[in-house]
Amino acid sequence: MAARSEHRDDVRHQALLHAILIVACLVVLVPLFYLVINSFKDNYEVILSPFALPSAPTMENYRKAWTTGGLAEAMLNTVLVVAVSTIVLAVVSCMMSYGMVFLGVRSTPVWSALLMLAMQVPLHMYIVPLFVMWKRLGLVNNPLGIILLYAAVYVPFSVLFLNSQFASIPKEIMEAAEIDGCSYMGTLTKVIVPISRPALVTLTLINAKWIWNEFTFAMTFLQEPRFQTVTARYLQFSARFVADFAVTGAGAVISVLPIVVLYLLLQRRFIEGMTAGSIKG
Amino acid sequence: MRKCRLGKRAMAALFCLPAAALVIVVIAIPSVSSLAMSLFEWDGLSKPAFVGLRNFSDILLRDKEFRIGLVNNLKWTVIFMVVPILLGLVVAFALASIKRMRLVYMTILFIPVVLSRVVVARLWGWVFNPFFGINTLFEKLGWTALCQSWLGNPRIALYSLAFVDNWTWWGFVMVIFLAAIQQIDPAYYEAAVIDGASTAQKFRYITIPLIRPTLNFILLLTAVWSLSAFDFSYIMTQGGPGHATEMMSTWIYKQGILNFRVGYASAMSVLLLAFSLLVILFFSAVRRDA
Repeated sequence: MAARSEHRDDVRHQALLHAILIVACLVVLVPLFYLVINSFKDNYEVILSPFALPSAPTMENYRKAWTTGGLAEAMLNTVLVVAVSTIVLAVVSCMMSYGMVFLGVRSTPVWSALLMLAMQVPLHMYIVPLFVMWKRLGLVNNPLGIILLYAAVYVPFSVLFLNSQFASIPKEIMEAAEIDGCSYMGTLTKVIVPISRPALVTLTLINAKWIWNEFTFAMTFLQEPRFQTVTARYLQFSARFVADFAVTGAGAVISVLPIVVLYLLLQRRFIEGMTAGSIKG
Repeated sequence: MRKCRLGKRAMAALFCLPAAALVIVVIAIPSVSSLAMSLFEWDGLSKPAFVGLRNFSDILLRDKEFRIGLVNNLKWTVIFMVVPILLGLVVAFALASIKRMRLVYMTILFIPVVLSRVVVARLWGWVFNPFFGINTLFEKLGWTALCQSWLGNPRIALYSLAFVDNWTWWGFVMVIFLAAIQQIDPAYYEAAVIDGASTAQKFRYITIPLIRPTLNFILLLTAVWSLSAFDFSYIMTQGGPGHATEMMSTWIYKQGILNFRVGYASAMSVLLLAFSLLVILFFSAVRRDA
């Protein structure tokens, strides 16, 4: 009897918890749903009945955002910038992390502390002088300029992330490779990198997400439309057509779609990567 | 042997070089030059003119917008130290206690964190739009008291922006708390159940104390990030109406990048960094006490 009422209590308890969670999910999903349904309407219908399903769904808005809005070109730029920056990030962070964890630079804790500091410096502390400097070097409105910038800004996180991953690799592997006559570079590329592939994939995903979505640097350093990444272009285009919810809504869906799809396919890696290192206090 | 070790050390430094060089060029040098530039008046082109501490005295004594920004950042800090953390804690606790569907809920709740903030800003801009936004729904339902000019009313706009930022931010906090809660040894809860503890008591006397380090870390992160909040204020209201939603960082950006007052903006960024360091010192002092 007692066990039975306890069981009933437990069911009620679980139902309450699920209710809380469903409400929280609705707070997330309803605005997104509102965005998606309106992106399939024409602008007249948006104003007439913004909360109804589209009466005659149209892809016209998507076509306009893709061509007139220039998202097609911006998407290409973004893919280029994201690809090169994440590769540069993976390479230089792997090297640094390897140097710190396996080769043992002098005073490793100081290096870690400096990286931590670099990660926490607000970007407004350096964006103005950086802009002046980049302008002099011809790196404003230049894909190379933004790639260097992203590679640098996300280096501290990447190195600290890899440090925690590399720390769990037994040092004996390194010694064994050395005895086999592997050079330092050889040990890194033939031993350490293959073992750490999952961590490197997670890191690259997180960096790709950050760079894809980044806008303060993008809007500052890529002012010419032909070099703009998706967020910078979308920011301009949506400000110009702000009253045209249908088209700018479609543009919004297009510009987040690649990252959202990646996220839905690989959520565990995203969540693990983004929260890495936060639990230790 | 000794020579070999030295070689290894040198190699280590060499491996660190590319990454370190990037950070030094992009973050360290400009940050340090902000410190130096704060003593100059400079438009980024002509010769900088040394003005001593005049930028600082102008900012602190005369710059009304900077003061509004500072107050807004402080309000922001208070809001973000409370709202997303409470929400995140409660929902993380709920997620940790359910037996099924955890991954589904977590995946949905984390979506706003992966969305681009520009898109989120536009999305909520539409929700707040008077012609097709939430107000038209309130009107239909007859809740006219709720029809506000969410971004146009200087007394509400900052809180509307804080709401939007919360929407993107609390899922992140929640997932971090969840990870911390899942590391708690279930034996504590089992013991509490035997002692007849309620759910609320378990939350208060087991969960909270055991995730304290994570909680402190999130509070620190929140405080530092709140002082440099920028995104939604800049995209959604450009600091307006008037300067009602101006932040220190939006004002720095406007002065430095848009008005070419490099020295003046640098001085403000030095103050911003000083406030951030104060917060960090304060937190480490509190932690040492506790």
